Amino acid sequence: MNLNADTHGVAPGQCRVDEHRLHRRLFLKGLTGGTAAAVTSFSGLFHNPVFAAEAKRAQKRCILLWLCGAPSQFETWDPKPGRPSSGPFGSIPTRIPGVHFSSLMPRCASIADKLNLVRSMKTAQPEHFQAINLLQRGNPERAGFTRPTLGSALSHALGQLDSPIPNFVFIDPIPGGNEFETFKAGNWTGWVGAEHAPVRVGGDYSKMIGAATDALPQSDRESRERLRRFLTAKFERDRGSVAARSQNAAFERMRGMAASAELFDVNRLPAHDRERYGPGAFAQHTLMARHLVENGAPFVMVANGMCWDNHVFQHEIHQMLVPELDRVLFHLITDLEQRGLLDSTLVVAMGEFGRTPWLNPARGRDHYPNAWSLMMTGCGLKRGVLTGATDADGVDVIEKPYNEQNLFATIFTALGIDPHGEYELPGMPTFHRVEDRAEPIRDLLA
Amino acid sequence: MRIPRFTKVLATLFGLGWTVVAAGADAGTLWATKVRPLFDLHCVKCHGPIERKSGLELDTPEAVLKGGDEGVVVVPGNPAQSRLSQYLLAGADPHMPPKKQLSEADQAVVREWIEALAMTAPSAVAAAPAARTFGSIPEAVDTLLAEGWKARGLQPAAAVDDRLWCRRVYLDLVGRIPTSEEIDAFVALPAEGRREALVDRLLASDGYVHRMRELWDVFLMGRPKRDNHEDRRKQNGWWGFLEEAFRKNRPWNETVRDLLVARGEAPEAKGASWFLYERRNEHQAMAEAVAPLVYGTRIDCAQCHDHPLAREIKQAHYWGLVAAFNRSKNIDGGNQVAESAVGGFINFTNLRKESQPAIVTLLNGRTVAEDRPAPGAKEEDADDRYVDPKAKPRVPKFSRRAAFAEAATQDNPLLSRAFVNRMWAVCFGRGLVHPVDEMNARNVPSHPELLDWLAADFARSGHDVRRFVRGLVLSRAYGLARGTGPADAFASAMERPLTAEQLARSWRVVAGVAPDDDALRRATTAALPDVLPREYNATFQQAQFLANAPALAELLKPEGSGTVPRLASIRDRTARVQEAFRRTYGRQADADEVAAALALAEGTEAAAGASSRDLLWALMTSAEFLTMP
Repeated sequence: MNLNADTHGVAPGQCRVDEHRLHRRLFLKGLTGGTAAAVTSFSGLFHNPVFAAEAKRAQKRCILLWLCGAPSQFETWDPKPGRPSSGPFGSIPTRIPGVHFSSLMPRCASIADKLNLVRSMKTAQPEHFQAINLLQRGNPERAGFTRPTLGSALSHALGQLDSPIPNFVFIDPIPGGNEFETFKAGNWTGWVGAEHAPVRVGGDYSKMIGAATDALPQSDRESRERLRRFLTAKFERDRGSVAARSQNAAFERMRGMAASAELFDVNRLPAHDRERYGPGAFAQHTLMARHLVENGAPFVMVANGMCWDNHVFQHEIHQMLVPELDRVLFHLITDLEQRGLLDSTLVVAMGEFGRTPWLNPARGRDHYPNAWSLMMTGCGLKRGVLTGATDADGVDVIEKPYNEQNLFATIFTALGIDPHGEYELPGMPTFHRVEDRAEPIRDLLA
Repeated sequence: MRIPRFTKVLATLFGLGWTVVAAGADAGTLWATKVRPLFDLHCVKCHGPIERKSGLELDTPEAVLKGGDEGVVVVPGNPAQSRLSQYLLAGADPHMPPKKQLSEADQAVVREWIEALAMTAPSAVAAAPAARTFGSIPEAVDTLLAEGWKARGLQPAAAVDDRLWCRRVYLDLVGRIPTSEEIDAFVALPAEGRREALVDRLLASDGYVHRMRELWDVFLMGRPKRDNHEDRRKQNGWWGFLEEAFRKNRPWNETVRDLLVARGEAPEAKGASWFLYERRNEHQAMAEAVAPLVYGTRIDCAQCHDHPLAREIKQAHYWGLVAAFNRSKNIDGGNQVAESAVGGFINFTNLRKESQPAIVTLLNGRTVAEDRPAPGAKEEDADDRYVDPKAKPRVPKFSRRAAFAEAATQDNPLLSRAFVNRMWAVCFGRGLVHPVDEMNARNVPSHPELLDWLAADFARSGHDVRRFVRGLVLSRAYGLARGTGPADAFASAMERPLTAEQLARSWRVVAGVAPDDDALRRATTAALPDVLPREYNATFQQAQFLANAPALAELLKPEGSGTVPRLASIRDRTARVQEAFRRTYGRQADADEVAAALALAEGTEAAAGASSRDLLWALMTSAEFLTMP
């Protein structure tokens, strides 16, 4: 399957397979026949409320909880009680028979049958920036070429052209801060193009969504925007201006965003929801992510930036961070399930590597890409599966090692996207979504 | 033209018409527009400069016609007998490409080209015309472009009027629109010689110095990646170095030599070392940045293998360029880049794991001779290898950087071509070679004789930058109206988006305040960072900035003595709209525009200020303002 990088994977005159399935289903159900509005174009279908709801349900989505800095697998998914590598926190049984989590994760233990664990992640990058790059792009870097990050690749594969909701939302409380900051300043979209860049929310970026920084009443904004649009459209017609068309499109996207601005306002959600998830940016942002995917966002990345990087006082800090993660993940998964969304929403919770089985002199755990864990569940995956294993002390993987390529192959496959599909990039070497024909994690695929 | 029988049968079966090759679609055009991009994508990897499977190369028409180990692959005019097209059919054996199937449309392109070859005179290589002389840059530009129009049957656009020309030239030379007073003063002068006088005055002004520094800072260093990068460039004299070079109109090759040698010995060279220093000892990044400057082409693709598409660029050039810089090391805490007298002897390997030593090798054919130490022998970094061993930094007696800089900036026609092409792209919207930093065998100049003449003339003039820019903007071709003809013909002016700096200053001119303001410039640059982008892409971020930025809102306050309150004080609503158009676009609004804009010209005094602000905002953020006139 060839993917034209310029037109979101769809050649002119061609529809994606999903769209045809929906279209046919509705025709068979006779829904389009009854409505007054003539369904002569595909976009016309969206005005039919039943179709719109149907389309929303069929849309695949992904939430990535990006635990930047890297959590310790020993204090989360792969505890080693009674071993020298164990911390002071014991382990508890979970709803998966024979599987234990850290005692810091009681809530996730109680829904473990809805989660899947990969305990045998084995990657090659021990340094933050390189590892973030590796786990965000899913393949080692090739000099001179920038592979799109997961969000941009999914925006390219899953995103809707005319949707008011951005195809890639990146929620991040701290715009600044060491290696992750450098990564954030880099090129997220690579060869799929700037239209797949993330819309950033949180921290300094919170103000931008629909905010009126010069205290302009909405009606005045509307009327001046109308004149700007009129003049730009006239310029496009009279001069054949490409720039004019591009500008009007950008403003349209912004209007779309402004129309969905309230989706980004967590305070509009019931107080009960906000209290359940808990205080703090990570919790509230995860709640926002749930709300966004409920309303059609294909990919939302929630960053919990670098706080996990505990080279100092590992146990003390994880003791605070892990229960929060436990609570947030518990509510996210159970909410998605209750809303009937878990089967179409992939949830991945991971860092860029794991942490060392041993403590350093500062009572911290250092970086450890050699054997680490992550959690992924939802769309296209089984439930309650544990795959891969580490040895008694968590020093090495003893069963089914997986790397970033296997992870990405699993993510694409789960979302119904061909992992080995080729990008069409004239004048460039051949690139696939996942290189080397790396296999997805078969144990997890439904 | 014979149409193979099976196509006739198919056509009848599906009720399709026969397609007849258009008489105008000659083999050369087909090759350049359709066949070569197809072959580049699907074939050249195995049949090109890197690998020659079966001895066959498919990257030039001559190579295709020559064939491979098993003989010719193309019979001109006869696709059915040409293995090149037969192997593409589904189920063919052997089948090409080995693991893919080209679409029917792509196969038809190949067949069409093979047919067209029969109508081309075999190997009719026109003898290169004797180099002509021209009295001036405008004469060369206008004569040679006009010949191109005639050959292609194109009518050039009309010339723009003086007011628009004035606006264009101000933007290109000093990076802002002229004030209404400046335009009025210009058109009030007698027509004879006033354009030359204006251009000379602008070229002598500070505005020109800043504009050129703004452009070349981005071309040479890219936009700053972090907030403090701009400050560091200023503090370490980089901006000062560029500005001195343009203010004094230093010969371009000397400016480039200084930044390659990266030693601030002479006063004009102070700050030049930042070009290397900011790259933090990443020698490959240095090589990749230097190549477009002194060769006119990027050579990034030649890191791991010879350039897959541009035959003349070899791995040896890439690593040779790295070797020119890999004895360099930043001295922490300052801006000096030291250079060692020893070391930096590297080997590079290709995809077949064959290893070769890297010698400083230039694309213009020159090499820098050096004695290579025997493998395993350790070179002693003795004091006598340096000019003054006590100096900080020490300068080696044999400096690779200096040797490379000499070879790259003395009698290097590629340096002139690169500069000429880049400034042409700035003034006309597209280089004579496109993309502007890919002047290699892959990309034929749209006007080869013109490029040759301009480059030679530039070198002859002592690499005189001001003279060259002056020549371009005084040509008739520069003053043509906007149009949408083929981009490489320059029969009309191309669309050129303004840079952030041009916008920020022009907004302030419209608002009636002094053009330079750091805060607005920095905010605008963050939102609209592109300079001469390959593809114009108005981002979401740009729209947000234009709609919400406090810096822009600040400029449009209804209070004070700027343009907004002045507009608000005009009672007659149509007159107010016309004044707004005059101040922003330098023209009258037409009837449709007046009608649309009247909605934003409130009559009541209370609302006049706010609506004037909105009226000006809409005019200042529309496409007409954001692009060159």
